[in-house]
Amino acid sequence: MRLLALENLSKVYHKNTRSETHVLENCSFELNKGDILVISGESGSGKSTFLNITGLLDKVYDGEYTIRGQAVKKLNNNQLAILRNEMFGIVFQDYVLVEHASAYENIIIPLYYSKKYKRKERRHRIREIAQTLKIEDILDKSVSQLSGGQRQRVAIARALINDPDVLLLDEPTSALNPDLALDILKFILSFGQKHHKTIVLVTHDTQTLPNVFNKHYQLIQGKMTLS
Amino acid sequence: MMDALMLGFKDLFKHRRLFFIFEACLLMVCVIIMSASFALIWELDQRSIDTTSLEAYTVIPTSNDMTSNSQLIRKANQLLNKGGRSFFHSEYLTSQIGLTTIIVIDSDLNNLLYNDEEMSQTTYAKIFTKADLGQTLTTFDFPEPTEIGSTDISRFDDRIFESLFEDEVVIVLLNTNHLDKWMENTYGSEIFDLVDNVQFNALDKKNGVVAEFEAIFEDSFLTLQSNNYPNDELRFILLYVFPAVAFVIVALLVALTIMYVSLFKKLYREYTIHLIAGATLRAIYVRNSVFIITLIVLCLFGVSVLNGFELNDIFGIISITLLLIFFIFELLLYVVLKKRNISITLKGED
Ligand SMILES: Nc1ncnc2c1ncn2[C@@H]1O[C@H](COP(=O)(O)OP(=O)(O)OP(=O)(O)O)[C@@H](O)[C@H]1O
Ligand SMILES: [Mg+2]
Repeated sequence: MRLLALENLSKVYHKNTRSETHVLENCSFELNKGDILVISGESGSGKSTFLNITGLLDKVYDGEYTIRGQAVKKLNNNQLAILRNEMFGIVFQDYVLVEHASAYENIIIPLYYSKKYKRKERRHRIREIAQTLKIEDILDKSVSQLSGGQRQRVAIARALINDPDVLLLDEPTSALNPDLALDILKFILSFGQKHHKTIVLVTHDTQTLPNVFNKHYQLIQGKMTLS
Repeated sequence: MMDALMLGFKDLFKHRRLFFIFEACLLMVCVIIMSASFALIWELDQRSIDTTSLEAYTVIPTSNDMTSNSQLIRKANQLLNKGGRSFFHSEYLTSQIGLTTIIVIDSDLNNLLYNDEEMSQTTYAKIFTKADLGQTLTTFDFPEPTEIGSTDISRFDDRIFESLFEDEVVIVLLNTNHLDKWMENTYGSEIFDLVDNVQFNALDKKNGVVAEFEAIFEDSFLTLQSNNYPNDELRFILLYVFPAVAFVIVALLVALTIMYVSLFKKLYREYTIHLIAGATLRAIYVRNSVFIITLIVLCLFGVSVLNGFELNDIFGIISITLLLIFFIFELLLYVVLKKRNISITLKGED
């Protein structure tokens, strides 16, 4: 089933100014339920930019974006907020955690706005996710005191907590040592397969990837090519 | 909604120190506005009691020639029968009675107290003692003591009471028909006092009493200098107090805004993370408003306490000011939240 499609996507930062930067040019791409997809490209090629647009965080672009057949440009702010909450789970390159808050307080955030889980179920749901990611012991610690690997797992837990359809992962393992990185990647990919999640994994390093993805796009000079 | 409120209170607790500084600043603004408007309202009230500004004089002696005294007194007597009021300290009576004695001449009171024909001819004066100022004064008439109601006392010139420090004072309310008789034994200084303390109101001015008064003293040994001090006070408030108050308020408001913006910057990253996770703008709005609404409600409560829980003009002024501050802050939040693009915010901030 077609989940989302982007057609002729172009992105220009600081349009019509001296620092105008063309990042993406006429990229087309589609995603079906259960797809596991890898996007690779050099640093600065626009991978994060692409993910921001896909995750409905950036509204300023040219091109057609449809989710389940609906044009994104026609959705209002509330509908976009609901989609962000129910459909996407995002793990950012630098995790983007609330630093002065505990791991628990970080992971719970999507549940505040969720209709999938009731207020009473929240605690249980967080324990459950924390257990699968082996972070149940650090839930009450402040995020700023955690190690890189722990922070990352907190970010992943937050992305998974509301049971999203699509996982957007922006170099989720860049800050980790190779062994741990591989462990985590394997975990996410097998988790995705098991729960029929759609996964978009952004990375610049395709050497160590486990061979479970079904599509691999490459971003080169603003163009997206299937490889 | 419930979660947004809860998160709002959590934020408030987390930033409680800033909250208290904020509250203190806001209360300071309110107290300044309160006292400034209190001064203005009081001054305006004063003016409305007098109905208009009073005509008052400062006298400057220009010679020592006393020969024209009796002439002057007679004229002044006739004049103060028609309008105006004054008082002077009588050295002569003070030494006679043994108590500070103030002689009051007041055309209005005169009509009230010496109202019948016989009295106005035979009674020279009514004498009061200052048993308890602001209360009923006992009158010692010749020969029988009578009572004068407290409402009448308020008609005495305020300045009389201001100038009295002793508890035992005799006030002689002169029958102006006989002023010249009473003044026979006076010295120049008492006339000086009489002229110095004279006051005319708008009605006197309209009736030409003021012009007449000025004419009498034109060729005398005294020169008149007209001055209007109640008016001056209002001018002082409007010209100096209010700009100073406005300056302090603006400074405090700028400080408040700077603090608010810095708080907002602290929270903005967190708000963005919530927006990414699916928060609606409304949820963020509710969350952020908790801080400012609590602030204002507490402030309003503080003002009510200071104001004795009275719903008066001052409370109204403060409420309107706080409401304005509230709307400015909410507008600020609205502009910032609506304009920013979520993805951009994440870059380059802690
Ligand atoms: N907010 C922004 N304003 C202006 N230019 C931007 C902005 N964000 C990204 N860019 C530019 O867009 C280009 C692509 O950036 P992007 O972050 O998408 O690259 P990336 O592929 O994710 O790189 P990396 O592998 O280092 O994460 C870069 O040239 C960058 O300078
Ligand atoms: Mg990137």
